[in-house]
Amino acid sequence: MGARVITITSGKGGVGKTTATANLAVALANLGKKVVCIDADIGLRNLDIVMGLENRIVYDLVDVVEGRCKLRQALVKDKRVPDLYLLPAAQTRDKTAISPQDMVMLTSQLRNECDFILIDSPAGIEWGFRNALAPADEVIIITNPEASAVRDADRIIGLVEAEPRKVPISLVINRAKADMIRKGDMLSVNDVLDILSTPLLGVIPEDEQIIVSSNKGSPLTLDNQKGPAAEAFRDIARRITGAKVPIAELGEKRGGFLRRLGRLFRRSGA
Amino acid sequence: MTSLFDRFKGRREPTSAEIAKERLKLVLVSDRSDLSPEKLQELQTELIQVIKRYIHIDEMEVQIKFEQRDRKNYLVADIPLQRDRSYALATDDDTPPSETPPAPSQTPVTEEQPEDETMGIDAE
Repeated sequence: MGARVITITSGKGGVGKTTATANLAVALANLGKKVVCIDADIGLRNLDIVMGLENRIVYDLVDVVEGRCKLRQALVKDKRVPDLYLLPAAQTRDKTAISPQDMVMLTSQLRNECDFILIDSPAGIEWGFRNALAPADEVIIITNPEASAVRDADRIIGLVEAEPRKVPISLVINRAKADMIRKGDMLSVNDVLDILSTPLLGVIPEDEQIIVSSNKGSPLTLDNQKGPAAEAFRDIARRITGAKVPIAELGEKRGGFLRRLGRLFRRSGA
Repeated sequence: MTSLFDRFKGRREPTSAEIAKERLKLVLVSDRSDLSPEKLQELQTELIQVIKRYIHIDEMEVQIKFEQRDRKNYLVADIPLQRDRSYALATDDDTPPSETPPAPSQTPVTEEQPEDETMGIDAE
């Protein structure tokens, strides 16, 4: 099959890497793809709890690398969708328990078994990030429209670009608030793109349902749920599979249809 | 450096998003280049000294800054030349325009009316 290995990273913590990994994995599986997601955040595993699979873990990534089990035994199958598996991180070890070479070996064993391997990278730019980056065919950078997150994204983009092998990078802007952007109190999508000059893969609006879904361990993309974030994640999944899905504008100051219409009315009313 | 703020000066206060964008652009210059604002100032001073040995420039108007196009950074120098009509006559005497760095305030105005021609140096 020859899976695509996509690493999801950000530099800064708390921008939504794990949420994005879980939701994209489920959305891709719902599109009929066979997906394995790997939690590369050794010692701080979270993908399992966001996906709602935390009670079914027997073995983890480090067990596989150190030969205590077969890779197949460590994969936790998500029974709510056709073909989705989680390879959990070890919780009681630290990042140095595995090396970038281990990650390359591990993914190469999986490449012929599935369509997509999504790697949830830890925050930071050190060992854990290096592990997550090593096997990547593509990198998705998650950022928020916020100065600190954009700065860290810039750093990560620089590091990925400095890799000897060319790894395509795309950007997902998470937690965008249309009303704040409209008021000029949040960097707009175009502002972030001006600064980062990286192809945009999608924009996820801020959505309280994200918290609800992680409370329940049930990603928003699971059962065709409605809502801005769920729909944005599904759109991104379709773009990943090559579909041309336009990216909706979010609170941009110029050009929005409703806004232009609003301006027209205001002008004629005055 | 002041472009955005200047543009809005007198018109309205910049929004917080505009402030964020401007601050980010500035901080990313040093993040990406490993060059602090002080070092950049030093570079500017030295560059002016070198160029002055060859050509009349309007020192006060020299601007050296980083610019980003796509994901490449460029060091861009805007160096306005002084068109000095008497200079054309004086060329056979090989001395540079001024040996000592003049105090900034003395440089332009007096005799030569600077008509700006801009010499741009782009270097990655």
